[in-house]
Amino acid sequence: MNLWRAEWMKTITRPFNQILFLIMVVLVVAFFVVAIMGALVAPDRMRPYAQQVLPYPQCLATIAQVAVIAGQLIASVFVAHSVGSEYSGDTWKMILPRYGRRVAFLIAKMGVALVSMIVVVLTMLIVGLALSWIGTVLVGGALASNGELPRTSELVLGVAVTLLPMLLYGSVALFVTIATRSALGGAVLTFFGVQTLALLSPFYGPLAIVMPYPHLPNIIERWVFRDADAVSYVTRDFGYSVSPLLSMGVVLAYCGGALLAASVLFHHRDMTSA
Amino acid sequence: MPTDTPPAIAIRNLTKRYQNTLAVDHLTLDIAPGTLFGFLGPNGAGKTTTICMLLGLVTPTAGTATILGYDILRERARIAPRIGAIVEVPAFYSYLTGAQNLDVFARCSTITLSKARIAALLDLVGLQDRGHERVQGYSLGMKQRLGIAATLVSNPDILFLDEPTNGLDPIGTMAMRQLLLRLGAEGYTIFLSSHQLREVEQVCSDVAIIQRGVVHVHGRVRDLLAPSDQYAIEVQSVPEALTVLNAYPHVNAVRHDDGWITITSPQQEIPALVRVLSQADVAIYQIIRQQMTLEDLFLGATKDASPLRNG
Repeated sequence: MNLWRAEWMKTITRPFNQILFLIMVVLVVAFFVVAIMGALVAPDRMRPYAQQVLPYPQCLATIAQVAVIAGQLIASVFVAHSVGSEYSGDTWKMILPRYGRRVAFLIAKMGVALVSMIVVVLTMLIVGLALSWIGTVLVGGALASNGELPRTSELVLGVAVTLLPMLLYGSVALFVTIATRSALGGAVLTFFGVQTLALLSPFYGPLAIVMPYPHLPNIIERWVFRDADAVSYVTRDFGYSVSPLLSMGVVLAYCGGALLAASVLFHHRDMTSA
Repeated sequence: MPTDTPPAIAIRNLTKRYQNTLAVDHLTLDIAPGTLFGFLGPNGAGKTTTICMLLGLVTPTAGTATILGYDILRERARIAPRIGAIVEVPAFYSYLTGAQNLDVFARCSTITLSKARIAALLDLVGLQDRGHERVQGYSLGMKQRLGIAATLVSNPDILFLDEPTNGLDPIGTMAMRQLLLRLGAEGYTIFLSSHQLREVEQVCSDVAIIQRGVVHVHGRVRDLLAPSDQYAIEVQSVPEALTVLNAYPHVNAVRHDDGWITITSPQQEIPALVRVLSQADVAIYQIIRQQMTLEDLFLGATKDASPLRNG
């Protein structure tokens, strides 16, 4: 536990991480503020749109969109910096001799990264809900839509699945950063590498079943946004309907594989000075 | 070292090869508990690589080593809480304070430090008034001192110190020397790698000189630097003194410098030589018995200090 507490102290105190956290929250704030201000300044054009996105549960979709899209980049940068800064700052030589198992440090870093992402997403959720409530009061309309409201279990599942892209990008960033010994290399190669995989997903053909994309959008569209049109679009990439549970298994396998590869590489590599 | 006392550090044929470069070549050393051990060598000799292997930062190509009886490869978990180390320049988390850095390092050693203990460590190294400041504002000397404090957080048995006086001014160097002597007196085993030969000579009881990954000299400092049979004599007239001394049997006198002569002679012959010079009206100003210094030993052992050979 002490390793985790050491990593937590570093995480919450590091100014770089504080900025990343702020970016995520500011993105959510910015969307709702723009929607509210637009509805107040140009009510003819913007009020119908604002009344569509502000009420609960539609506001959740907005928050989820920001979390999923921005979270992929933020998770890549966060993990790459958490690990890469130990190389660039040459602090691995100060901490590795203090504990018998090197891999324990990686486990602590990823564990704290996951907890941090959960805190970020929950903060975005709370801030977004607060702003949607304020916006609805200012713009007018019902606080909640007349349709069916999501159950608590569906909300929890939605939050968990929102974290899945961050977990995937973070895991890959861990491996790439250890391989390159560079925070910048880890972040850039991870984000653009995985994004390239996403862009190529319509062309995988039979290989689509073993690639992280389109499995990741298959889960997100079904369990977060519940968008039937988007689901059918993803299904076209596979050529057939794929169970979200299978998709979850494939994505988690990629996360696990990246973590395992990172651990093996980290365990065996010589730690010479930066 | 008594044969029934297990060494604190036992190194057997430790070897590290990087592709075509042999950084450490079948190193074998024993270091007794409570020893202040000086590990000397020119740049690129393999000192830091040796320390990194002992600390588990680098995997040996061949050979074995134990620390406190535990194998450095298979029993790392037993070794880790009992050692403290600085490798080259100590590194810190610049956005944390000195006290926070110590707390983080302690937690990495699975230890929770009390505020009192942190304060005591900072006080020991003279940073009691600066511990609440971020390390990014520390000078190099302050970082070196904080590094020493960091090595002590787990109250270890053995300290590995790689160039601990780097960047310190003369006052800081003296303070570091006194601290090392104090730690040695308290029973710590200290493995000290340094270029500061004078410091090592004053602090260490044992020394090894390594070059190109091979130990050339190893032993107790007092034995290696025992007084020799060479004497330097300052005289008024060097030519006269040389004539008188070289006529004396079993004496080899050579001109050393203006006014100085170096002779090689058994100690018991010195009074007779002084009488002979006095009788010849050669004025003698002083006689100094030559003692080998660590620098002499170092230069002699590493006189062919070219870049690491490819092996």
